[in-house]
Formats: sequence, structure tokens, C-alpha cells
Amino acid sequence: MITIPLLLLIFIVYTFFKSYNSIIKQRNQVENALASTDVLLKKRYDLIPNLVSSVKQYMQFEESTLSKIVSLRSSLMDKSGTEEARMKQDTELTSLLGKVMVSIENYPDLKSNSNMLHLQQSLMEIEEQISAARRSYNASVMQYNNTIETVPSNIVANFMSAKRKTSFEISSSERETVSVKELFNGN
Amino acid sequence: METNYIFDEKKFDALLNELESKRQEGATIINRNSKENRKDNFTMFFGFIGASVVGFIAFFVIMVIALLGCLFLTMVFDTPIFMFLVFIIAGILLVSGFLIPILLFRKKFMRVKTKQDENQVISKEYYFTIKEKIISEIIKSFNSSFEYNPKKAISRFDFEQMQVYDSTFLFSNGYSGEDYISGMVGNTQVEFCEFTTGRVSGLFMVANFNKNFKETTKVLTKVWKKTSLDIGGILDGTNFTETTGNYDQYQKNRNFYRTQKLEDVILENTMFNSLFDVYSSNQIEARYILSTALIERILNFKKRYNYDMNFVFIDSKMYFTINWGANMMEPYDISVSLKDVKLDLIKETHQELKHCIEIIDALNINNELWYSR
Repeated sequence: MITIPLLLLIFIVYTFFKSYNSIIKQRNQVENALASTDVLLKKRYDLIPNLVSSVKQYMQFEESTLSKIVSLRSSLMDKSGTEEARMKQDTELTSLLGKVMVSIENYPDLKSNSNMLHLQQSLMEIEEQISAARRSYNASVMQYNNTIETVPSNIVANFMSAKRKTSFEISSSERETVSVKELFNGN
Repeated sequence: METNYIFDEKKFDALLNELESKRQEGATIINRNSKENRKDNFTMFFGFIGASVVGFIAFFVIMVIALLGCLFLTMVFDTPIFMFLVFIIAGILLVSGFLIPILLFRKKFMRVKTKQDENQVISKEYYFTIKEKIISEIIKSFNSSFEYNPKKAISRFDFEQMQVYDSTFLFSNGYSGEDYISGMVGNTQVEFCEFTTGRVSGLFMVANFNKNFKETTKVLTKVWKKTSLDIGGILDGTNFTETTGNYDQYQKNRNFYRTQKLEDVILENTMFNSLFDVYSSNQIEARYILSTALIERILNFKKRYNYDMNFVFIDSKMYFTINWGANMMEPYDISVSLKDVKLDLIKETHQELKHCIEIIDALNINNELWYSR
């Protein structure tokens, strides 16, 4: 007679530990994905001084844009401010970089510069990688959110007071900044 | 890629004429041989029937006489030993019944066989001559950078590196291929050939990918059990019951990748997830390769060619297979005049080549900007 409650207890304990472990694992995965995104963003910020210095002598008109890029970069590198504000700044930076990329089209000397070409390619590649990292972050966030909101792991998540995480929203304009069409057609 | 090759139709026609006369010679021999063979087969067939009828009657008559004789002997000498004689006589008759026709028709049979072999040799030789001379010329006319070898295939090493089919497992199905082509499609270096492994055959391609990566990512067509009624799939229009894949193999592979430290990659596109399984050793790199645009392109390609297809990305290269069967670059039969089918042959070969390299354009991995580095 005692076997049934005992089995039930074992089952409950097993489920508890399993849910607990999967929540922890998935949380770590989310953190890992976020860290990877940060690494890639850092890589992009490192490219910016290079870009600015090679563009500067050609683009007198875009002086204000360039200085804005520099200031945005330094504030992003400081890691000051809330996560939300930084995300906003990053979006702004991305669109400004896109703008610069487009206006390069108006300077034939600059466009044919091999150093510039290389920079462009590096930036483009890094943009793709950042977008990949964000998608990967979103996927792990979705998995994590699913786990903490579905039965039975949501009970364990309540004990752990695990909170729902928000995913990145990749705006369409941000993605367009790296499109090849724009780079070449100067649109 | 800049080879100054120009397709010379006059030269091509001259080659065609030369081969046409050769073909006629071969076709005449084959015709004559098969005509004689038909005659020999005819005689042999009726000879056997005649021999069987005569043999059966003879067997019956001799057996009756033997039986009566033995009965008589048994009665005279009053011992049953003579009844065994009947069996011995029957045995001898049966054996000679098989032996006599074989001895009678042996020569004819051998002659038919040699002629058949000769025919086979001639048509095989013709087949490869056409492939090596005519088809390779047509392939050159399609893309001057293409090098063609009808007997070669992409190396077994490359095939096994994919680890999609059974060839790397213990009881492997093996790997064989033909119609090897290598060259440039735009800026992309490609090799492709026809491949066969087990019951699966189709196109196998190795192409340089436009992005740099180090780790492994696999995109494999999901295989659904044919017996299961997939109501969800029917409802959202993704009905997979038509798949040609091998479900057991698929399950085996899935288990294999789990032990290989390849993680499941869940992408944002649900349609894509329901059609393909993605495994990778690096989640971010997988998404770097499979950009949202590329996912859309793969889906479009899959819609167009509803065959099982697999993509493996290793070391900045894309390994691609599509299981559409083995029927690439086939010349016409020796009995067909080359002049009659000249245009068809060119048209069909170009069409096949177009299909083969379509994946390069479809996935847009031929993007110039990426290649100018």
C-alpha cells in the first residue's frame, strides 16, 4: 500500500530536480548568448576608430555624423547607463554607420580605396554576426521563457522566482543598413 | 576563370560527323549481331521445345518397354532385384535428356553469348566516347571553366565528411559516382557529380561558401514516417508523406549527431523547422550561416524541387546533396542518329547543368562583394 505514495514522491522529486536543472541550464545559455553578443558588439566598436580615421579626410560634410558616432561609441564602451538606454544608443549607432556607408558612394576615391573596402567588408561581416548572435540569444530566451511558463517547470520557476526575459527586437531598418543593394546603389 | 574558350560550331559539327560515321559502323555491327542472335535464339527455342517433346515421348516409350522387360525378368528369375533396373534406366534417361540438348546447342549458345558481349562492348565504348567528346564539348559551351570527367566522382573523403548518409557507418552502403564537373560559377568555385549510395542517388556538390566559418552546421531534410497520419502537417499545408527518405537511416543519424556534440538549432522560421533539422557545434555560427534571407531562399528552393536535400557547412564550404535520382548527362542510344538529336542533346545537357548549378544562384552565395576580399 505504501509503494504508490512512495513512487509518487520519487516522481515528484525527480521532476523537481529535472526542472530545476533545466531552468538553470537555460538561464546560463541565455547569459552565454548575451555575452557572445557583447563580444561581437565590442568587435564592432573597435572597428569604428579605424573607419572614422579613414573616412575623415574625405568627408568634411559629414563631420557632425562622425563626431556623433565617436561619442556614441565611447559611451557604449563605458557600459554606463541602463540596458535599455544602451540598446537605444546601439540602434542609433548602427543607423549612423549605415548612413556613412551610404555616403561613401559619393566619394569615388574613398570607394576604391582598398583599405576602405576591407573595412566595409569587416563591418558587414560583423553586422551579420551580431544579428546571428541576437537571433541565437532570442532562441535561448524563448526556450527559457517556455520552460518557466509551462507545467510542471513553472512551479519550480516560482520557487526560484525566475523571471521572464525579454528578447532583442531587431528593427527592420537596422538590418537594411548592411544590405548590399544599399551599399552599391547609394540609395 | 577567364579561359579564352569559344564554342566553335563548325568544329563541333565536324566532330559530330566523325563520330556519326563511327556510330553507324557500331550500329551496323550491333544490328547484324542482334539479328543473328535473334535467329539463333529462335532455333534454340524451338530446338529445345522439339527436343523436349521428342524426349518426353521417347522417355515414355522406353520406360514402358523397360518396365515390361523388368517385370518379365522378375517373373522368370523370381527375384525383385530386376525392378531396380527400372530406376537406373529412368535416371540415365533423365540425365541424357538434359545433356543431349545442351551438347546439341552448346556452340550456338556460345556464339550468342560472344555476340552479346561484343554488342555490349561496342555500346559502352560509344557511350563513353560520346560523353568524353560530345558532352564535354557541350558542357564547355555552357560554361567555359567547367572541366568534365564522366568516370570520376568527388572524392570519397568529401562525401564521408558530410556524415549524412550511411557510408561512414559499419555496414555502409558505399559511395560511387560519375559525371564529375568542376569549375567556377560566377565567383564561386564548385565541384559536382552524380552520386549513389545505397538506394539513394542524386546530385552531390561541394561549393565555396561566401562566409567564413570553422565549425560544422548541418541542415538535413526531416524525414517523416510514412505510416503516420500527420494532421497538423495537413492543416498547415506541410504534408510530408511524400518524402523519399529512409526513416531508419534518419533516426540513426539523429542519434549519431547527438553523440557527436552537435546541438539542435531551433530557428525562428517554423516552416523551416518543420521541413529541416539543423544541427551545429556552434549556435551563433549556425545562425551566421543561416541568415534569415538564406532560410527564405532554401525554403523557396525546396518548394521548387520537392526532393530530399541536405546541406552541410564545414570549413567555409557547402556540401550539398539533392536526391533526385541518377540521370545526368546521359547520351542517346547508339541506334539514334547523332545528327537528329544534336539540338536535343545540347538543350537537355544545358538544362541539366542549369538545374545543377541553380542552387548557387538560389542561395545567392555568388555575391560579388563578399568575394572581393
